[in-house]
Amino acid sequence: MRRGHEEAEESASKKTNQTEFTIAILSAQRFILTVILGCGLVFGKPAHAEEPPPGAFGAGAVVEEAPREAEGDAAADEGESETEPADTEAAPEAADRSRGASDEAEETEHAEPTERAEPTERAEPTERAEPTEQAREAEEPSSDDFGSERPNEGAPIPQTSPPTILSSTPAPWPHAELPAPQRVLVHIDASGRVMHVHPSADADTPEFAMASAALRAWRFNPARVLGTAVESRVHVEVHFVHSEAPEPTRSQTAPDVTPEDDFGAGAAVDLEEARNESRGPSDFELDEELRLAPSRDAADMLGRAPGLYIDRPVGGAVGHRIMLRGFDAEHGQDIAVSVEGASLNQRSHIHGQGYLDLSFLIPEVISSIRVTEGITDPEQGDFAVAGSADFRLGSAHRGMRLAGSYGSFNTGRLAAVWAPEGAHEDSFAALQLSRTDGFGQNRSGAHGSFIGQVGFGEHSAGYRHRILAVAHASRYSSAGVLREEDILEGRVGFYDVYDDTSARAQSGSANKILLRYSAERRGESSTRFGITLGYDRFRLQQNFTGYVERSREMPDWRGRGDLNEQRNGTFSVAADARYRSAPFGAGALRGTYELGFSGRLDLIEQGASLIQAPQNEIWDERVDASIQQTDIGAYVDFDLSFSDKLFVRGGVRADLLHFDIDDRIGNFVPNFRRETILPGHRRSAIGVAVGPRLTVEAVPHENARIHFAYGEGFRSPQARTLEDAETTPFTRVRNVELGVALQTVAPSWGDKPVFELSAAGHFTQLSDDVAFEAAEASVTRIGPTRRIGLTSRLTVRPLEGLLGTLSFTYVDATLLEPPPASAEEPNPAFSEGARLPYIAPWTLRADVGYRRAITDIAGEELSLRAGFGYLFLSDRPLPFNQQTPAVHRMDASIGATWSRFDLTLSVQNLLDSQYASFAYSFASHWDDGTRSRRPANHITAAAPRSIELRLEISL
Amino acid sequence: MRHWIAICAFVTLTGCALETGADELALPVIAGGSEARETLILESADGWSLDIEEARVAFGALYLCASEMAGDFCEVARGEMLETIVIDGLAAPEEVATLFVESADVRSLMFDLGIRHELRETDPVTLSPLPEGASVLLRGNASREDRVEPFEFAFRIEPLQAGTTTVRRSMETHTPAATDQLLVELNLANLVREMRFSPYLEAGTLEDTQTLRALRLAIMAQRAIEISWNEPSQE
Repeated sequence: MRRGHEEAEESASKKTNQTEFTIAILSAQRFILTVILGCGLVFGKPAHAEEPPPGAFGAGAVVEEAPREAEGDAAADEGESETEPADTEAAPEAADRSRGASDEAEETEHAEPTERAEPTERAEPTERAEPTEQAREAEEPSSDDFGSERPNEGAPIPQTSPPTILSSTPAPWPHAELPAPQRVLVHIDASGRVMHVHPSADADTPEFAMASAALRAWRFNPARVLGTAVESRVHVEVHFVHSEAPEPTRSQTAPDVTPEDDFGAGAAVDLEEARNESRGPSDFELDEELRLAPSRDAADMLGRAPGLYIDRPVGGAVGHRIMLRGFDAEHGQDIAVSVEGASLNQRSHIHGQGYLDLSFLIPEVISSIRVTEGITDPEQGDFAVAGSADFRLGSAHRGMRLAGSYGSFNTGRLAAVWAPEGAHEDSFAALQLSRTDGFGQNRSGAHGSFIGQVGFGEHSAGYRHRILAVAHASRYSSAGVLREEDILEGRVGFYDVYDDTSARAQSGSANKILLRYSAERRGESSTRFGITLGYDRFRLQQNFTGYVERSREMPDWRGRGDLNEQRNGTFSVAADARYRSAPFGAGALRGTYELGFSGRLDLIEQGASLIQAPQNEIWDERVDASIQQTDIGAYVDFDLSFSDKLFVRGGVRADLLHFDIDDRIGNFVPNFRRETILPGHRRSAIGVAVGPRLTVEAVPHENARIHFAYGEGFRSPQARTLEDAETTPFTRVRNVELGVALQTVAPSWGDKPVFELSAAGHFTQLSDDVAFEAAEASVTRIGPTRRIGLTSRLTVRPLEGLLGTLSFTYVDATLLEPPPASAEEPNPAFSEGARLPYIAPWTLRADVGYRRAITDIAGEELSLRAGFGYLFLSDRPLPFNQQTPAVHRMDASIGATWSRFDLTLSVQNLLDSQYASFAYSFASHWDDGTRSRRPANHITAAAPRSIELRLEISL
Repeated sequence: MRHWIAICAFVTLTGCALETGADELALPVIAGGSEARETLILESADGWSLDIEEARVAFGALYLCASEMAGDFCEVARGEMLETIVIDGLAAPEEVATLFVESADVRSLMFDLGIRHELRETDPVTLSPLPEGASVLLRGNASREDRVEPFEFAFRIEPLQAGTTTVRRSMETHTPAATDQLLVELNLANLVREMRFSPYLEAGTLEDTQTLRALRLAIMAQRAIEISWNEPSQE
C-alpha cells in the first residue's frame, strides 16, 4: 500500500555525487531576466545503471521544455554539441536510469548522439551530472539551459540555489493497483508554494488529476538567486498511495531527513525568476499576511503593509483614502498602485490627482501584493512618491468556489471563482456582488465586479500570453462629514447624516472597464510587453460645507446647498515593454540590465457643478474641461553583484509629460465686470522629470542585510493648474533610506524563517506638496515638505500554523515653507514648521493568525483557525492647528475548514470603538443659526463593530 | 539595543520639538460707552443740544479677519463672537461675551447690528433684543434755544445682501494674546456729530430723513462703534 513512498525513500537514499539540473531564472511578476545557471547539485540520483523501481523519485527527471524553447537557437549551438564524445558515452547509462521514471525515457533512448547537446562544458567534472537523454535534450541550444554558449561560460554564479522540497504528500489513489508515479512540471513561487501544475499529455487522466491535487499541498524552499527567493519550475514525481491510508506529510514523519533527500534524484530545475524585485527592507511582499486577520476587501489586505492606513470615508463608490509613511496619499496621489502591471492611478482626476478605487478587486483572487515604500526602483513612475503597490492576481485553488456572506447592517455578498483545473494559477474568472444598508444613515449601496484572466502559452516555449478583463460598477449613498461640535452637543448622531436635503443627496457612482494584454518571454534574456485599455467614469455628489456657496454665474443664486457634483470620465490607452538582458560580467562582478519603456495617453472629460437637491438642478458651473495627457517614460535598471556580499541595484528613469487643456469656462468674467472676452482657457504644457534610483545591499552575515537607498521620483500636476507653456512643475521627491534586515536562516514550519526583522530610517523631501482642501473637495498647494521617520516590521513563525507580524512607523512630517498669506488667502491653514495635516506620526499594526488541523471527520480533515488584528494611529494634526484623537481598532476572526466547506466568523472593530475614519478642519454652515466662520473639526465616521459570517464551498 | 533606543528617542524628541501652531484663545469682550455717565449732553450738526437718556446698540455677530479687508476675503475668520450683545452707550464697559480667536495677526473685522442675513435665509433675521428688533435705540431730549423736543430713535441696519455682514472695516494689525480683551465702545459723540436733528422734526418721522442717514453713516463708517484691543498694562 505504501510501496511508492517507501521506494521513493529508498531511491532517495542512493544519491550520488553526480546529477545535474538546469536552471533558468525566470521572473514571475516582472519581466525578465533569464539567467541560466549551472549548478551541479546532486540529490539522490542512483549511481548504478539499474532501472529504478517504479515510483522512485526523479531519476531522469529533467527538463523537457528547454528544447522546445530553444528551437530558435538550436542551429547556433548544434556544432558545439557534437564535439563532446565523453558526454555522449555517458548517454546510454543515463538513458537507462531514466527509463523507469520518465514517460519520455523511451523516446530519448532513440535520440541520435549527434543531435545531443553538449551538456556539461561549463560544469566542473566532479559536479557534472551524468546526463540522461532528456538531459541532453534539455541542453540542446536553449535560452533556458546551460547548454547555450554565453560570455560567462564556466564560471559559477554566486548564490544560486534550486528549490528543495520541505513537505510532500503522496497522491491518494482509490483503486487497488497503484499507478506509476506521475512526473509533472510544477511552477513554484517565491514563497515556495506551487503556483501551477503544467498540464502534460496525460493531463486529462485521473492520475494527473490526483497528482495535481496532491501537489497543491507540497511546500518548497524556493529557489534563490543572489540570495533572493525567486520563482522556478521543477520536475517532480508524485507517487501514489492507497487513499484508505494516506501517507502523512514528510514534515510530520521524518523531520530529521533533509528535504533534499526527499526531493529525489534528478530533480531538474528550470529556474526562471530573474529580476531581483526586492529593493531593501522597505520592500514588502504580502502574501500569507493577507489572510491573517479578517479582510473584507482589497483595501484591508493593502492595510497590512507597514505604516499604511486605508479607509473609505466618503462611501462605497469613492476610492479609498490612503496614508503611507507620513504621506496623506489622498485617493492615490502619493502611491502608485497597479494590478498585474496595469496602473490604476488616474491622471488629473477631478477628485484628486492619481485617484484610484480598489473596490473592483475581488479578494478571493488576490494572491499577493508587493508594496515598495519609498523610491528605490526605476520601474516606479508617476505617483510613486510615498511608494507603490502592485496587486497580483491568481487562484491557487482550482475548480469552482462559491462564497456567500451576510452580516451587520444587512450586508450581503456573493462571490464566485472559477479556476479551470489543469490551467495555470493565473487563469480564472471571478465575480462578486455586494450590497448593504450601511452602518448609520445614508450609506446604502451596492457594487459588483468581474475579473477574468486567462493565460496561454508557455514561457519556456516562446511567449506566455495573458489577458485580463475587469468590469466594475458601484453606487453608494454617503453620509459625508459632520461637525464634531454637532455630535458632542447631540444635534446629530455619530453615524447619522444631517437632516438636510442636500446632505442626504450625497452619493457616489463609478464604472470601470479595464482590458490588458501582456506577453512574456523568459529565457536567458527575457522580454515582456503589454497593452492596457481603460475606461473609468466617476460621479460624486458631496457637500462638505453646508450652505456657504454663492453662484459665480448668477450671484443672486445662493444658499441652495453646497452639493458639489464632480464628474470625471477617462479613456486611457497604455503600452509598456521591458527587456532584461542575459547575465554579463566575469569574476566577482556580474549582473544584468533592464530597459523599460512605457507610454500612456489619457483622454479626460471632467466637470464640477453646484446642484440643488433633490431635483439636482444645476445652479453653478465650476469646471468644464477636456484634458489630453501623455506620459512617455523610459528607464534603465542594473542589477549588479560585486561579490556574494555586495549588491548594487538601480538606474535612472525619465518621463516626459505633455498636457493639452481645454478649460471651457476658464477666464471667467464675473457679472459685475464688463464682458470683453468669451469664456474659455485653452493651453498646453510639457515637462521632463529625470530621477536616479539606487539600492546598495551588503550582506555582512548570513542573518543580516544592510541596505542604503536613494531615489528621486515625481508626481505630475493636475493639468488644470498649469499655465500655457509652463515648464511642467513636477513635484520632485527625494528619498533616502538606511535599513537593516535580520532573519534566522533555518526555515520554520513554512518555507520562511522563524524570525524576520527589518527596520529602515527614511528621509523624504518634496519640492511642492499638496494637502486636501475641504471647501473645494480637492487639494491645494502647501509648499515644500519633509518627512523623517523610522519603519520597522517583525515577523515570527514560532509554531507550525502560527504567524505573527508587528509593524510600527514613526514619521515626523513637517511643512517647510507654506505659501504666505495673500489677499485671496489671508488666513492660510498652514504655517511654517507645522506638522503636516491628517498624518498620524505613529502607526502600529499587529496581526496574528493560527491554523491547526484538529481531527478527521468522515475521512476529511477538520482544521480551525483564528486571526486577530490591531491598529493604532496616534493623534492626527489637522489644518488650523486642530487635531483628532488617536485610533485603536481590533479585528478578529475564527474559522473552520472541512472537506469542501469553509466557514468564517469575523468581527471588525471588535471593541466597537467610535472613531473618525478621517477628520478635517474647515469652516462650514449646516444649521439655521448664525454662521460660524471659524475652522471646525469635521469627521467622517469609521464603521462600528460589524459581524460577518461567511461560507465558502468548493465544488 | 542602545542604538535603537537612541534612534527612537531622537525621532520622538525631534517630532515634539517641531510641533508648532497658533493657540486658540477665549478672550473677554468688554462693551459699554466711551463716556459713561447717567446722561450725556451732546450737540448735533445743526446746533441742537441732545440730552441722551438711553443709547443702546445691538452688536454681533462679530468676525475678526486675517485679511486687510474683511468681507469676501474673510470666508475663514481668525476669531468670532456669534451672539448678539447690546452696547449701552451710557454704561461703563463691562464683560458681556467671549471672543474665540486664534493667536495670529488680525487686520480687519466685520459685524452685524443685531440683524443677520445668511445665504439661505429669504429675509433678514432679527436677533436684536431691543424694542422692535432695532439695531440702534437712542432716546432723550433735544433742545435749541427755548425749544425742547423729546425724541426716540429706533432703527434697523441690515446687511446689504444675503451672505454679507453689515459693517466691515480694517483695524491696526494685532496678534491677540491670552491676556487681551476686546473693547467695544459706543461713542455717542461720533454718533451724533454729523447728524442734523431738524430734518427729523420737519418730517415728523425718522424714515427717509437726513437724520437717519447720518446716524446710519455714523454707525457704519464713522466709528460710532469703536473696537480696540485692550492690552494689559506692562506693569
